[in-house]
Amino acid sequence: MLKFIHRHGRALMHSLSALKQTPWMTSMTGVAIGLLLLLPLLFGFLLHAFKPLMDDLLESKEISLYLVSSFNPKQAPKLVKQIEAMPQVAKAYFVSADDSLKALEKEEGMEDIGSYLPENPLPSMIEVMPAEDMDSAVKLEVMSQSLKDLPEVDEARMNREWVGKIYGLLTFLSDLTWLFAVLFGFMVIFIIRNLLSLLAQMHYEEIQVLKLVGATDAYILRPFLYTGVILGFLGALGAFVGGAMIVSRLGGALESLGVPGLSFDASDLFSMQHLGFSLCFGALLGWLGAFFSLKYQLAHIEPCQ
Amino acid sequence: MIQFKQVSKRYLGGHQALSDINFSLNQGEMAFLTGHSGAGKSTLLKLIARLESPSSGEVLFEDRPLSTFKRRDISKHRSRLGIVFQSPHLLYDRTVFDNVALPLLIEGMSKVHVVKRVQGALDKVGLLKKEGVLPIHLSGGEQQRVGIARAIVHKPDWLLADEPTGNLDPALSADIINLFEQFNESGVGVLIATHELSLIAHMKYRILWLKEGKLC
Repeated sequence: MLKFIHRHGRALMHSLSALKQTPWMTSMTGVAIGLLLLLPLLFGFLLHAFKPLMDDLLESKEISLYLVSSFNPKQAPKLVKQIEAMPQVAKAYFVSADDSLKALEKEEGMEDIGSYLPENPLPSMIEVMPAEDMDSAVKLEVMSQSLKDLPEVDEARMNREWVGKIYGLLTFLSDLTWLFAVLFGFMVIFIIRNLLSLLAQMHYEEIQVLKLVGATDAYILRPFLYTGVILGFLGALGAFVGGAMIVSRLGGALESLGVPGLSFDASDLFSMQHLGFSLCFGALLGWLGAFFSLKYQLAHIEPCQ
Repeated sequence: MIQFKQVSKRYLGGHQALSDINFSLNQGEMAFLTGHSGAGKSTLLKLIARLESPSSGEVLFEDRPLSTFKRRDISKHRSRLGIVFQSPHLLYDRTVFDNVALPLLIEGMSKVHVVKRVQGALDKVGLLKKEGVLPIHLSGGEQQRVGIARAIVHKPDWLLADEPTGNLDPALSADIINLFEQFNESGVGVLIATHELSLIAHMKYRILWLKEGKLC
């Protein structure tokens, strides 16, 4: 156990010392890795910022019932009562065509729209709030269908439809983030692989001598693995700090949009969990790059003869 | 024990370095390998260290054919040998101390023991005062002695030396051979390839004569 610690301690110190001797190369490689990891990290951060908004929107289960044009508003209380009697419904309320037009006129640029129209084109409607146990898309769909079957109802529209489309878009962006993470992850592996392959060529004679005096491939590989891990670690750290700084600025801009539910909790993004994950991810990429670069290469270097 | 059974070695270019070599060396034995330049001395040592493989026949180390050794076994095998070449194969960006310490660091020895052993080995080859010097600042003979210190520092089972006194003056050569004898007395098997007959003529040890790749 003590030997194991000695070996790894020496390999780590050897790597750190080698990286210290080439500060320019080390920092440039760290920056390149950091930039590659920054883009998927930024996507991840932004998706994280939009998630509370999406959760709020997905919770809205309201169904709008557009009534037939021949509907007499005097019959509204009776129809509301009939709908509220349904077990799937928590609450319903009537919005007359006149109220809808008034609401429309409150919108910017629509102030006197009523004066331009020969008659009010908007239908009367009933807003239906489903009961709490209507917690799945299927149940809501069935309920919407049964409401649509009422003779007074021309059309039933769930607000979830457009929310679902936005949610689908965000799911696509989330998949895209992972795709970027995987692609750029491979690029990081290749950068480290090429760099360490070059380093191994620079240390060709040293490797020959080490093999001559009985060093195993694992012994020779170890410092290179640590170098890969350190570079990946530094790159991920740079990407995390840079990403967090950029997102802090973007956060202000997002909040200035004033969209309710679009919250941006920076402390959540700066969490130790996210930092730990990023560093481990970077270190893993570095290890993989070093391993795949040198495992084969070392096997083909024979001692000096 | 090291055994050669009908070993031949032909290099890729067609040069026949060794032909039908048969001999064995017992553990703890000291022997000299001699012959003219190009007789196959270096090739024979390389076969023992598994730096080369025979074209035919078998080299056995402690009754195990070296040809059956896997990569890890080969590393382990080399760590049981102390190898000295005519060219010392040192790391020129590391100090004399660091060069000699290599086999011990590979073993995973603690720093305290490494210091003790390296200083002991350097003392034996008369270079203790130069432990902090880079090899590039040493003479050819001194570099050769650093190579010898590196070969003996981890107390190998076998010491293989290819012209170890090639760069040394006669007095120092005698000292180095004397050092090898001391090692042999402590149980280390020693095989020294040399063409300096004057150096070994008066010695009591077995001499293996190679002539054009064949044992005489």
